[in-house]
Amino acid sequence: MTEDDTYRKLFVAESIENHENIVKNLLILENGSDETAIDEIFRAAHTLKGMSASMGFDEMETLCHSMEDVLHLIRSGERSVDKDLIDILLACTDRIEEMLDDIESGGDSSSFNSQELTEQLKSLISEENMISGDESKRDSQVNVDCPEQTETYSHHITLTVDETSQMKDIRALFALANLKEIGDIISCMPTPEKLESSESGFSGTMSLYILTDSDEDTIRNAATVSEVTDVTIVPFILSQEVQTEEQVFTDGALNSGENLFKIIITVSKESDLGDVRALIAYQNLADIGHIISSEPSHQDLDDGGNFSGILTVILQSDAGAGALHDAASGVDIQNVLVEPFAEENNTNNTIESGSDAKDSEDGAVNSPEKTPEKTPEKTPKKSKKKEVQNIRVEIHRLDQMMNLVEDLVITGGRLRQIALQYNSKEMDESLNMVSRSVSDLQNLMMNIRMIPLSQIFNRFPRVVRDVAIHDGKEVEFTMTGAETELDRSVIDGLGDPLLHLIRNAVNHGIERPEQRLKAGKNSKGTVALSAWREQGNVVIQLKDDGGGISPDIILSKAIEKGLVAAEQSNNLTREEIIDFLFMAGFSTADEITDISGRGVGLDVVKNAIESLKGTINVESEEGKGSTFTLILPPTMAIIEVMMVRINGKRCAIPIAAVIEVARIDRDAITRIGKSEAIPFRGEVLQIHHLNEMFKGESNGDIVVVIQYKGTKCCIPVDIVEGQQEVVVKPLSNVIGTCKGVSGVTIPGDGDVVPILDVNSMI
Amino acid sequence: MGRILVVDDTLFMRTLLKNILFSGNHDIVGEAENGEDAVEKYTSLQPDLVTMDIVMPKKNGIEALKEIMAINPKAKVIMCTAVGQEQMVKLAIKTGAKGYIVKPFQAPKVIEEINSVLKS
Repeated sequence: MTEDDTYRKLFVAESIENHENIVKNLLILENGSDETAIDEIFRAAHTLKGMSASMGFDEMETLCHSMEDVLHLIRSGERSVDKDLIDILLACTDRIEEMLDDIESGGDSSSFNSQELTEQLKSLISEENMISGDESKRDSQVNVDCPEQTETYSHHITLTVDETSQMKDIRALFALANLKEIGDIISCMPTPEKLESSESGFSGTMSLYILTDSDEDTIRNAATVSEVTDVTIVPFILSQEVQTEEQVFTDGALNSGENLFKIIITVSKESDLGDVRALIAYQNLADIGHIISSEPSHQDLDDGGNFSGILTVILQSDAGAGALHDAASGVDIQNVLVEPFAEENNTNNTIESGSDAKDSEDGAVNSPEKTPEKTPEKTPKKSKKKEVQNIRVEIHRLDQMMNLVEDLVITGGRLRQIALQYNSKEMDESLNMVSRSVSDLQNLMMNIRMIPLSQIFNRFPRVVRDVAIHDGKEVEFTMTGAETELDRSVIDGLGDPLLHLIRNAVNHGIERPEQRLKAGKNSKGTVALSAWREQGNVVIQLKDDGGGISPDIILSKAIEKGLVAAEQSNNLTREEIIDFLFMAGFSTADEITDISGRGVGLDVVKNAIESLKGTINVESEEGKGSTFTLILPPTMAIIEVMMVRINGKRCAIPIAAVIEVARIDRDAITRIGKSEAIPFRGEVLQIHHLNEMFKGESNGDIVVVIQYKGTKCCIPVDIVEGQQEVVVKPLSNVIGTCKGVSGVTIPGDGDVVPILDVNSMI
Repeated sequence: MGRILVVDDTLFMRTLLKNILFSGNHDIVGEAENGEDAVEKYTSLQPDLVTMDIVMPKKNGIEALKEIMAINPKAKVIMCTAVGQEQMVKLAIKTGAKGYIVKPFQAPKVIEEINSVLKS
């Protein structure tokens, strides 16, 4: 797997999580404002933006950025949450999902145009965009810790931050913080408050006066933070009377407006050697003034290379603005802008030249920022050393590994059998160690394959919402136990049947609001999905408070469809009637909807659940709602069984079904019709003789009491050998299904042992 | 070369950043995926430098930064930020952050920043 693949897969996996998080919280938000949900959505969108930007998926980045903008306004209370907003944001999540699919299969999301969505998002903001009134204050006062002592000797520092820096003002703040540690700042342009404000409009050059005992090197070190390209330090004599910053700023000698200038020189793009032209302008200016700083620096211009076309010079000069303008102008110089170097009044006394002064001024200020590298470096490809903490493994490899572990378990058992013959202590010890490692490995493999139900649960709230809106119903959907873990193979097979049940619950179960009100119910129906572990199994329950299932309607449908003869119908119990729901070709919906599918009924659901070795049953009360209960083994690969012998042959009974092992009094056995029964702890239990399966029966007095769906029965056995975890091998296709046997297992001695399928026995 | 604690809520970003730091010959002494985790790991690992994401669950980067600065006023924390988070970064700097790097990360800039803060 290449490094790019690694990042891509990591990206997709984490993006899917964040995407689901957004959808989940949007649905929460739809039910009323919720700060946590907003924060979560914002965080997830922000994360998606950052990750997609890092991968260079521009289209996705743009979309996430727009979402973030809207969410930002919601967070700050400037935009309220309404249906339109939720709908658009959900549409965005749909688009993101498509993009992720595309990215997962090797694309880069660029085939999706999200302009329409981003524009919708923008219109959401503009409609209601209330100005926060947080306009940056005009800083007339300079923030300083006014020095009490009167140092007479200090420095004027000018530092320039790299034009390409994305947060120039923050760099300047860093430098300022460092300088504060070595001295007292008398004045600073722009002011710290200005730098801290949200729209500092910082040009990249900061000028300040500092009172300090430190030498120039120390000052330079303090001022040189990252991305600071140029630091000029001029020793400065402060006259005794200048003690406060106001004085510094009003004092003629220091009034920056009078002798400090900022000159922006734009060199024509047509110029062949733009940097040389700029260098000439630089030299000419140096002749009539003292250059404090420039961007690019003299050295850079001299070296040549990436000259952007704009030279910015800060200089001190007694010559007037006009003279400076003339000095800077020349061949190939498109525009020269001279302004007093002061933050507040940079529009005054400006002398410009050039055909389109306004435009070129804008250009002069903005163009360096407008030309970011078009192809952001793909850092993933650059780094050489790598340490991977997460890897994604293809599922079939995990399956292969699982098979190998199973083989190892079996071979280990066989080795143990062989070792018995040699009676070697050393060998036994080694084998013990091997089997411990193998069992650890087996547990680890099982854990690796376990996935929380949330993987499939997460998409359900959206489904419920869509179906409810489509049907004009009001539904409150709750989920609990999504953290319950199941083996991947079970999870994989569970998604569709569950989806089907949930759609059914909303589509057929929950009534329309007006019907509900008429029936004395809350107009909003509830659908609750819950999951929990019980006796080694996982139980998933879907409960709705809808109309329930009417046995009469089911029965008449069943008769109509020829599933049962009318004359037999009187003998059917309520449960048996409801079971018709799960029969092939049965559908009670009066009309086929495009939501719940066409012709696919609960029989498909039942088959799917049974193929996972699970069971499904439904309880329903007319007018009050239905409850579907699914019981599933957490894994299909390894189960804990009780090993017994029946008629001398070994057989494994899943421990989940075993209630107890008991000794019975054979004289107490009574016959009821064809079968035998025995009173046991106040109940009468049917005895299942597995003589057909084992060519003979156990006539001892030991029985294993098993239970399935609340019904108990007992199986007579010769002896109980013990309890162990075994690897379930499915019956091969050649044998096909075999009633009463769910699979086989091969214990260490190589024997093939059937595993009883309790479900089909009782 | 420094011992660095990488804090970000996504494995993706942590991996990206770690690889950049490795290429700059730095040691990653630990990773944290939220602010709470970060403060805990800062105390136990005592890294030379922390790269701190801002938007994170449980405890965001600013809160974590505050706590780390309370533990060690000389702590070197660099904020990981994105365009549009300038205000957050400014707040972080007032709180004591020593630098920042901007997503999407550019390896040379990240290394430059880390080296410069480590030197200071």
